[in-house]
Amino acid sequence: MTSNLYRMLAGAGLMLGMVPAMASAQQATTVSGRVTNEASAPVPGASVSIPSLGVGSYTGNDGRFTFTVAANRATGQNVSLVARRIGYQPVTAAVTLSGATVSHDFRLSTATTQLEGVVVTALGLEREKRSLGIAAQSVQGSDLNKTQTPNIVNALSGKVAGVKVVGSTNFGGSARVVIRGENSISGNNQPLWVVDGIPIDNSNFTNTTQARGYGGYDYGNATQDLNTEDIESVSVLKGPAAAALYGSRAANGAIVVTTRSGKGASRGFQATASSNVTFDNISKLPDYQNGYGQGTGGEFEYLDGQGNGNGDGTDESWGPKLDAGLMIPQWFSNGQPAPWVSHPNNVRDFFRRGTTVSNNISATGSGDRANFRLSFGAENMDGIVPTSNLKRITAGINGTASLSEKLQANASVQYVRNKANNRPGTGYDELNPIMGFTWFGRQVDSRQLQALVTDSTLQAYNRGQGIDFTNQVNWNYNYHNNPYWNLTQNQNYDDRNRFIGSAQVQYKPTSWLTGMVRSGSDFYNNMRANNIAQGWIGGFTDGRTNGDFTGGGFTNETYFVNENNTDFLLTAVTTPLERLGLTLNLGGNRRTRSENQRWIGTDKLVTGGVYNMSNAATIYPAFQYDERRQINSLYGTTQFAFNDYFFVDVTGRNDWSSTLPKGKNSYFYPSVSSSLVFTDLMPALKIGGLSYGKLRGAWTRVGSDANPYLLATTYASNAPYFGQPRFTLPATVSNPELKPEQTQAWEVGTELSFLDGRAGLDLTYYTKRTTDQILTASVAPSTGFTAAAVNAGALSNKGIEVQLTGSPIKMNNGFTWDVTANYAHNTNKLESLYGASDTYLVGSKFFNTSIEARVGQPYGSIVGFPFRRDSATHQLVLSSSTGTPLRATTTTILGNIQPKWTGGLINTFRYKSFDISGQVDARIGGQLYSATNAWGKYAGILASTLQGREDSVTVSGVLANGTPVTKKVSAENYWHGQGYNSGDEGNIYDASFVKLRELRIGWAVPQSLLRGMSAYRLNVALVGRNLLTHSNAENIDPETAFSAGNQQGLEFGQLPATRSLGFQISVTP
Amino acid sequence: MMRKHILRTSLVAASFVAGLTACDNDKLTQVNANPNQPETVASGPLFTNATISALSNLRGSSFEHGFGALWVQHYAEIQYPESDLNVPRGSTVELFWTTFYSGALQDYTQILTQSAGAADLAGPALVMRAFLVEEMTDLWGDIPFTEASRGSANLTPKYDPQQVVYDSLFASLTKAASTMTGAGASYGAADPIYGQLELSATDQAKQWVKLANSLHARAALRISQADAAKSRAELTKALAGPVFTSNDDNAFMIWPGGTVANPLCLNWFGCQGTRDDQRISQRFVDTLLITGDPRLQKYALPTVASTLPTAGTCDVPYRGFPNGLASANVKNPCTGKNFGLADYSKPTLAIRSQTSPSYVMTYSELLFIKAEAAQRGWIAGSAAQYYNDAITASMKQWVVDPADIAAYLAKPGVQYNAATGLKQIAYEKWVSLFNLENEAYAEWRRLDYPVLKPGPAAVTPTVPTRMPYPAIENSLNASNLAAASSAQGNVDINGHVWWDK
Repeated sequence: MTSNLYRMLAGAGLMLGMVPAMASAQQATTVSGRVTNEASAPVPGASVSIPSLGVGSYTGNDGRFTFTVAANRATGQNVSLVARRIGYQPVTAAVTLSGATVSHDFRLSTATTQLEGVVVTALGLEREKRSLGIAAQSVQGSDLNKTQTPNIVNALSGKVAGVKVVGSTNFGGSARVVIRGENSISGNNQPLWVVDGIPIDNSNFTNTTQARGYGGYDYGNATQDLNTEDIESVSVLKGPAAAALYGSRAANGAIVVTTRSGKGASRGFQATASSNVTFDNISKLPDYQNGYGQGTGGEFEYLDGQGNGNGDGTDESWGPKLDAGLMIPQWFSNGQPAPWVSHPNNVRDFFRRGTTVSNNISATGSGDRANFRLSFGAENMDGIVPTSNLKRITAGINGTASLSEKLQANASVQYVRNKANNRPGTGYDELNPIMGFTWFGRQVDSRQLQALVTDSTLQAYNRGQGIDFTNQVNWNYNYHNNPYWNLTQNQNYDDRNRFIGSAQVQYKPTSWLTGMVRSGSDFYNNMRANNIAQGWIGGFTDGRTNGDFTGGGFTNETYFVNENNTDFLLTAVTTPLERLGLTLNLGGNRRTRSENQRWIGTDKLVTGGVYNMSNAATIYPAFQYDERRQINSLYGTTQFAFNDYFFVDVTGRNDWSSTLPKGKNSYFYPSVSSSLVFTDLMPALKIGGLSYGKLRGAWTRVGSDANPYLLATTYASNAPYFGQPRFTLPATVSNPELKPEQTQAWEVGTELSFLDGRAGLDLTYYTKRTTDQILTASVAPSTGFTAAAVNAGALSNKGIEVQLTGSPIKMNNGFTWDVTANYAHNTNKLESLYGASDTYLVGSKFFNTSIEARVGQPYGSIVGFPFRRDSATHQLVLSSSTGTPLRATTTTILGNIQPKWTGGLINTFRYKSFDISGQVDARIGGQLYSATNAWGKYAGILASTLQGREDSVTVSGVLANGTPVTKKVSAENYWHGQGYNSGDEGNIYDASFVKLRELRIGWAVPQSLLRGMSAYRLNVALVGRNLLTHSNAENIDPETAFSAGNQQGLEFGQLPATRSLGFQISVTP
Repeated sequence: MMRKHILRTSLVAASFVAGLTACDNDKLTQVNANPNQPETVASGPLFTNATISALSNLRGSSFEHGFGALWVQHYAEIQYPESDLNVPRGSTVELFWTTFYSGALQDYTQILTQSAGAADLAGPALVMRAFLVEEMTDLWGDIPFTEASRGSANLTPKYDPQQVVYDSLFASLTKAASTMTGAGASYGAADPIYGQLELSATDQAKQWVKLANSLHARAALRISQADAAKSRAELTKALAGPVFTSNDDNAFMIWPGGTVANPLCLNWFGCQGTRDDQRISQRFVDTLLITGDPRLQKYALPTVASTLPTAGTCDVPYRGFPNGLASANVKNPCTGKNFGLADYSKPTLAIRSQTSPSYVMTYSELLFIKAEAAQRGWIAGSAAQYYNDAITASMKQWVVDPADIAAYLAKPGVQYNAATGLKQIAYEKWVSLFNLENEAYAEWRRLDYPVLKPGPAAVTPTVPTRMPYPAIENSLNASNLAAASSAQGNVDINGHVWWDK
């Protein structure tokens, strides 16, 4: 919609140097015609121009275009008339400008390469791609949604060079996207999301506890609210240059989403409908051992599950051999001996098949002066953990009306509701079922856990043993809850209600000037409730409580987020010289954002089952946090277009931010970019099959402000002491002298197209460097503080991006094979930090391992303990008493989260009514720390821990004094020494993977089979996601994350990876 | 013509918006006023918080119980035994160094900054800061002090020799005792130590003077071996003023429970979930069983196993857990089976409940100080009398039956003998400072008695005698740390702080 406006602006010729001829009393020539595609359907939004004169227009909804050439410029000469649209091969026609009218129709064929055409850039401006001096890559909505991905971020994975998407296996969870590497040491590194010109919020609101893997829920990133079915296209503006006009948040790039609207609809009213069903099946579980059950030292005998039997307090599997005919008292046997047998599927049995059903309908209407689109989508996801469910409803309307020749208005409103029940916990958390299966007795039958979860006979037996937790029956009462008890008794639910709306008016008083005013708002509230039933075993934390919860309890928090953007934009267009187009934009923006958080909770209930503060037995102080920020901006841009093959853009923006100190809160940032279509400048260069060639380059600097409230020291409060208030100085020294942080970047690139678009190459080299970073740098605690807000540090990225497109086969019988390959390599380096410090801790430690930014290293070093090695021989140093390898005394860098390269390969085959496409994603290089493996070894649940069970593990090394030694170590001692508090290096894994990410087999049902529905087309498809994965990481899927924050590369208790298969059906006009 | 238009329109628009922005800039800056937290706070809430923070991070904390309580063999680890094996967990060392400096110490310092003169809570803040700093220097030796706590004004504070730190403690306590007159001050309920007594302003100040002088006496005696003359002089000075005269003067803090609970309960004994990581040390239990000390049943609970209906002959009422074992493979010597958690004694609820108090200093400790001073001939009075009074005060504090006290004092091994007086005092201090673990650990290091040996799996042959410096100082204050390290010689766990000769 917004783009509609801009098409009109652009249609006025502002970007291209296509300037409508001035009205003339003399005889002007009118050029008109119609643009259609191979199916003879109208192509709206195509540009049609005469480059040599710098005049042209865009096609309307009916595919028609018309413009006039002033009489003094239409002198009967022969000129080239060019029609272009992204996704189509441009077509040039020769016409003669004589007489009053010239008519020409174009028929465009789809192009494999997308090097030419129109892309949406900053401020929703549609630009001819040839005129851009920066890298921008577009993905059409239909490509994005090929295999029905619930989260738009995941859908981008592998499709755009240089865009790294880190998905997670968390149900409804976060996905992180970083373009061209991390810029900021401690701030946000994800790009700005813009929908129809309105920046939208992509907050996560995960607390730091969850982000570092110590429990809590992953509520997902807020952009997953976007319904992929509503998306027309996504433009990824990769560098800061691409986004200088969106303000500092776009220093990490911008993802500009254009939603479908009524603009492309043919006259009248049309409807579309689609339905999708997908099933998720577990594709990878840890490789568990089934040889030995619970216990220690090969012994086990259940008495009370609290340590009073023989090893029955333990939650490790170092007990007696299974399936050897032993009879041993167990948790379900009332103290009587019972068969000691294995249950190899006990973990798999816990999960179910996940199901996602989504239905979408939309209607468009179009008339002379107005058009609209209405859409409605409903999605229901049942996760693989029983009882987990997510429902999403999206509804939207947008419309445009031309109120007069000079005045146009449009508006859109979108409503999204996301409602989840029983998200599984993440990380090292009792509410994460995988946690319970890591600390586990391998003999335990989960079906039996389900059957006996509240068995009264066993509860009576337990009471006799003095067990407090008689609300549930479990295999252990020291640490863990019965996972089925968790599912049925502990409910958590969250609900996000969101409105995204905008309204704009544009006024065009004269042919060369346009004015626009727009206001947009993104508003949501998010309620998150978490109830713990009475009889809970073990503590619980959500980042604010760290309480007992054995008597039940709950937490309830609400977030209100509101971002408003109001813009004005004046655009003037002129052709001061023949063949030179000049466009000036002057705009302003006022952005306000507010965030309000509220939290209440208790760790003890008076009466079970009532989760309300009126029923709280202990009162935690309520938490309240309010935040506001505002940025006022003015910006200007100038574009020169010479002869439609040489373009120069100059931009400048000044921001006034509320979060920086007065006097330092005004900062200016400029950019320059240029593009040269050298094959147009010198057609002689079209050799060796080269049909189109462009060189581009850009330089930019972007300033960024701080987070709110870093300027003044304020006191934090703590829970009152017998009614006495408590306040404390904060741990961070404030800084009233903060200045904006700076990112400087430049990029050069080329776009080449061969054999009339059959093959294309898009190549970019870029560097960027962010300095004066606003960060809370660590300072020696003896200063009285642990951190100081400072401007310091420099983080640089440089890299290349390659995108290759081609149509190796294009046969006359309609068989085509299209290939797109993309590749990106980024080198990231922390050049400096603050003061004497050479390391910055990202988040906080996960067990003994931390993710750090270290000077001289790429962002995201994985730091932990290696094993101790003899300095001379480099042999392992063994403990003189137990013989297990000792860990080193100091930590060191064990790996890094940055991949060497990322890439994607998409193949599409079409034959008549069939299409088959497949996408392979690769992320090669980088490491991760897997605590699933660390604790799995420690607890003896993994198949690898079978080594040495019957005899012992033979370990060779040296003693601390250097004496060589070979020792026999019991499996239990050996594997304890491979897990926690030993060398973390053994649990660092290669994070590389290659995935068959998407596979789709589509069939357009022939019209002949659709009797009575000839006005509609019916498409059906079989779709698959994540069908195959190749990786070197044991027991886990290396594509993993606790949240979308900066602390990546850590893994524990990930939900099993799944393989999705599904079916799509859609009806379109 | 057209360009003129553009220019004019642009100028008009630009000046309009620029004007708007300019007058908006004041308002814009106002947007950043933090609505969540105040920029100034009175001394009362700072003092309350600092004192809670100080004791939370000392008594019963992961810090005190992660190191000193194990090394002085009052407690033993049953779950994660590294510290008990003399491998201090670096993250815990770092956490507590950080918490001391950026927590209570900083808030006390802020009170002293904003409460110029004697008014407000400046006196108690001076006393509590001295108490806290002594705890720190006793563990780490040389520490940043005179240049510390200055924020970005000094990012790399130098380390002061422990001797200098002690001199400054004496000066602080002297100043505090002389300025806390009660006039013009009302500490009230913001004082977590004596505020609950609801005393008059003057009487509350008097209590603080007693605490200041008693802490002064503690600090003075601590340097007895490093600088006997100074030790004697400071001790004489301290005891010249009002000091503790009964258990009613004991300085401690009561915990309300919930989130503000006894750290021993929070960190070790199941206030939060199932954390259950320590038992009383075998060495301690066995010693008290041998001496027939009536405090054993005040300190330790009978084992759970011994009270179960199915208890067997092996389930004895009091059993301590051995220090320095890799717990996984411990067998019950009686049954040969794996040991259960219920087989060992936990501390009593008087010590480990959510609301059990945390002590700064007790009357009995002061009496032991006097006993030692008398034994050394530094003060008048009978060492034996002070010694008996000290044991009596300790037992009364734990509500031991008077008959049992008399019986204990009458035991031949307990009766004071001047020839072995220092050892007897050291032993009785070791027993009576149970629950003030860092004090017990400091006094054990100073007096080198009772003789303690590390457990069998320990990686060093002797009990650690000091705390290693945290890694964070090495990365952020390296040159000062290096200077302090070389000045002190051995700064690993087998080194000795200045006063520990």
